[in-house]
Amino acid sequence: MYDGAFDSVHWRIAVFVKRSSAFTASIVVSAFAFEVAFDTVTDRIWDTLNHGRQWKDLKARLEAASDE
Amino acid sequence: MNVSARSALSRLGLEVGEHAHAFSTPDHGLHPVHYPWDHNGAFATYDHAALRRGYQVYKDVCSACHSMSRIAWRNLIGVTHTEAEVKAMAAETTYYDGPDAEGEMHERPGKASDYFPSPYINDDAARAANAGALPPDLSCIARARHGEENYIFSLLTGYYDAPAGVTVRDGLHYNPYFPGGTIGMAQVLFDGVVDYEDGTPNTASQLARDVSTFLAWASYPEFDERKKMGMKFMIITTGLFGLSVWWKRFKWSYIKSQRLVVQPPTHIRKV
Ligand code: HEC
Repeated sequence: MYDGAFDSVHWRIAVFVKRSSAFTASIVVSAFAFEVAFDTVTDRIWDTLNHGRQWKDLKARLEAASDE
Repeated sequence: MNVSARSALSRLGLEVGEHAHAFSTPDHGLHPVHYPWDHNGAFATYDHAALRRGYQVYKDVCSACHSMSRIAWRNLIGVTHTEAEVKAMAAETTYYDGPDAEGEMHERPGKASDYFPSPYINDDAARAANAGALPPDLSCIARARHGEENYIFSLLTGYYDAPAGVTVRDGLHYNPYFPGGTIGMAQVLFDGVVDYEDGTPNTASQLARDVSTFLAWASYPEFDERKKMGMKFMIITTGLFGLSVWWKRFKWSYIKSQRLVVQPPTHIRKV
């Protein structure tokens, strides 16, 4: 594998770039983990920006009103 | 200006000389004000409580004349109403269905998968009941009009006495926002014509605002999701842009840290 550009030790010792199978698997797994984390954070930001406006907020109000 | 020059310009869409006029003549309708809708802005969803009230206004007032044939009951689930509410609302309408295995038609209560019922059996019946004017289907009306929900709001609240010199034919109503200035639809929204369950003041302008929001949703049901994707897209592409800047600098650092010195050869024979 050409890694002349990354001519530093930590790129050489990283296990996940040594073997193509591990390299691929690490990309897939980290993409998955990144997406879960990214969606969790951005969904929370979105819900804060739109607090009280979305269906889930309306539904909670409707349920509270019908419980009375 | 001579005639040929003017016609050459008008072929380019430029009107000059006595043809020039401001765009917003009564023939085109007044431009609606751009209202500060609270769903304006890159990061705002629709206010779903307003959508729910807007549906009620459509149902109680507009649906007497206007169909919304591209919207099914199920589209309201998780937007304005719960599944149980939607099923109950659909069941109140009777649908004519069939033919069954024997070729018979029959009536049955509506299901969540049915589309909104139309007030008239066909367009001609609709015209006949409205002095010749066809009430358009409202499923995509916000997309279909310049100004979108601003136009709908302005139209619904824009009924005035006709100014001096404007004659309004029988059965028509003066409304400067409607192209031509006279519209077949009478004013339908007045203070208090709909009673809101959530206690929101039911002034005419509030009703118009809510129904305009509802019609905007019907035209753009993907609005909330699209804006959320937009926010995520901006965050990701900002990151990727940063990475690409870093990558460019990384690749060029080798070249940028070289000094290239060009020394013209000194020993070449002069010609
Ligand atoms: C009494 C019947 C009636 C009711 C009720 C009614 N409309 Fe109309 N509407 C009409 C007719 C008829 C037209 C066509 C007018 C024309 O073309 O001159 C029309 C036209 C329209 C238009 C299209 C205007 C254009 O630019 O072509 C919109 C938008 C509209 N109505 C919205 C509504 C809304 C929203 C409501 C409920 C608040 C409503 N209407 C209630 C009869 C009605």
